[in-house]
Amino acid sequence: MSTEIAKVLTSRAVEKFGEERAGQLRSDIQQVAEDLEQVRTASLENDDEP
Amino acid sequence: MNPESLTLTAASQVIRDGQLSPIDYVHALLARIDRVEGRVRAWVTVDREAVLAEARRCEEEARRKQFRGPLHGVPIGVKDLFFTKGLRTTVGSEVFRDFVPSEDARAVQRVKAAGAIILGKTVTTMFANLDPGPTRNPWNLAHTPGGSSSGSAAAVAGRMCPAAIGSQTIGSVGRPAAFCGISSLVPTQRRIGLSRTWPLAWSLDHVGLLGRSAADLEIMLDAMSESAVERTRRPKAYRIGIIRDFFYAHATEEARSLNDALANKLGGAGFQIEEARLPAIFEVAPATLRTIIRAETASVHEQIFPSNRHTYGPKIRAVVETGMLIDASDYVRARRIRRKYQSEMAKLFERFDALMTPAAPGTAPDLSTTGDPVMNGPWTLADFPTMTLPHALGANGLPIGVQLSGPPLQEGLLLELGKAVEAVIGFQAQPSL
Repeated sequence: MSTEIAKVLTSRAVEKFGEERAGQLRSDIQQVAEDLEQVRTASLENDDEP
Repeated sequence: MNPESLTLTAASQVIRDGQLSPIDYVHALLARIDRVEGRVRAWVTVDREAVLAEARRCEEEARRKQFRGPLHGVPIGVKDLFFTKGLRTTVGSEVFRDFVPSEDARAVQRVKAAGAIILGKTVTTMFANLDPGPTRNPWNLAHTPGGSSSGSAAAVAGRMCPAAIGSQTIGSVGRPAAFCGISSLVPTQRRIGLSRTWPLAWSLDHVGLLGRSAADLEIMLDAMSESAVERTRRPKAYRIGIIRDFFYAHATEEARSLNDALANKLGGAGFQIEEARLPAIFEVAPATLRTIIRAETASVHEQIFPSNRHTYGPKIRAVVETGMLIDASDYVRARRIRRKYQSEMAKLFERFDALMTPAAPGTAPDLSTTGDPVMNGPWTLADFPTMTLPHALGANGLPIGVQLSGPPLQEGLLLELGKAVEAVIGFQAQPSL
């Protein structure tokens, strides 16, 4: 799942910062993707408010 | 009496007793700065004329026995994130190189109202993030003092001021305090207002206090807290939960061993020490913390980043840019997880008065990094008041700290427990600088 997330994030990064910068951010983007995978799969109930 | 070695507690008392003139005190600390600052680089701005003028005013008032508060005449350092009226505030960035605020930060207002003299602005890493600033560790100048409250920690450890204000979003007070062999307290977020303080991440930013003893921290918190800090009666035995899960996996063998030795010592001194186990939700805490910080930091820098990106250090730049990639739905989800995490973690205090971990992975690393805030982040995310106390020296002669976290808004309990722990530790070492 984090691979798919990383693809989406990389695509956004290319759009915002260009190919070169997106490439430089690769390892940071991978970390974000792994984090988001955990955040998206953590168990929450409707009553769990922000 | 050596003014530069006075704790804040002792200094405020001798000023009140008339044994120490605020002017003489300021002169002593400025002379200390002249001797060591070239090597430590803790300060961004020290306006000597303004400081001496304030010291003269404090002295005049003290002669008339008119004390503004418990910090009357005591010079303290203020991290260069906090706005100071008429005094340059750079936020560690070229963008704010010439910025002079027209108002004080709330935290600065509080210490001034208590009578403190603002000795100067201490170095913050750029925008309070992880790119190292110029400050060195007074214990060994080839090592980092930690960050982002680098200058505040180094100034106190280097005996250039008795206490200082810092801020913490992950580990920016507890980690430098541990690396520099001094004490720190990060209270519950709403204890001390953050208005007119440059944010890193609003929901995680905390004002932090740095001093040389738990008593110092207590005086500062009482002076700065927006609401009275309740005191508790000392129980028969303090119950401390030592947490080895996660924290020991990120600590050096030396830090683990010294932490265990301290736990044994406390047990022998009458503390009830037991293992505390983390709830399952802890596993997602680091990812949650990083998601919130990235998204909020990106928002903080939304306006200034586009035209100033070339001035940003590599680490803060990466945080801002990756934060811009995160969806609102993921950010909100992270905030929901945080709320649940806080609730689950608070249940630990049904059995314990405080939770104990190493304050940092080990001793201070080299100057290429400000160190890893991994030990501190979970408590900042939980918004538990957290104290660090120095308790040992590593094999390399650098300090090691213990971290104690207490229940939300129970800083009184934590401070009393901290004083009791401190008495057992008996740490007296100072850098030879």
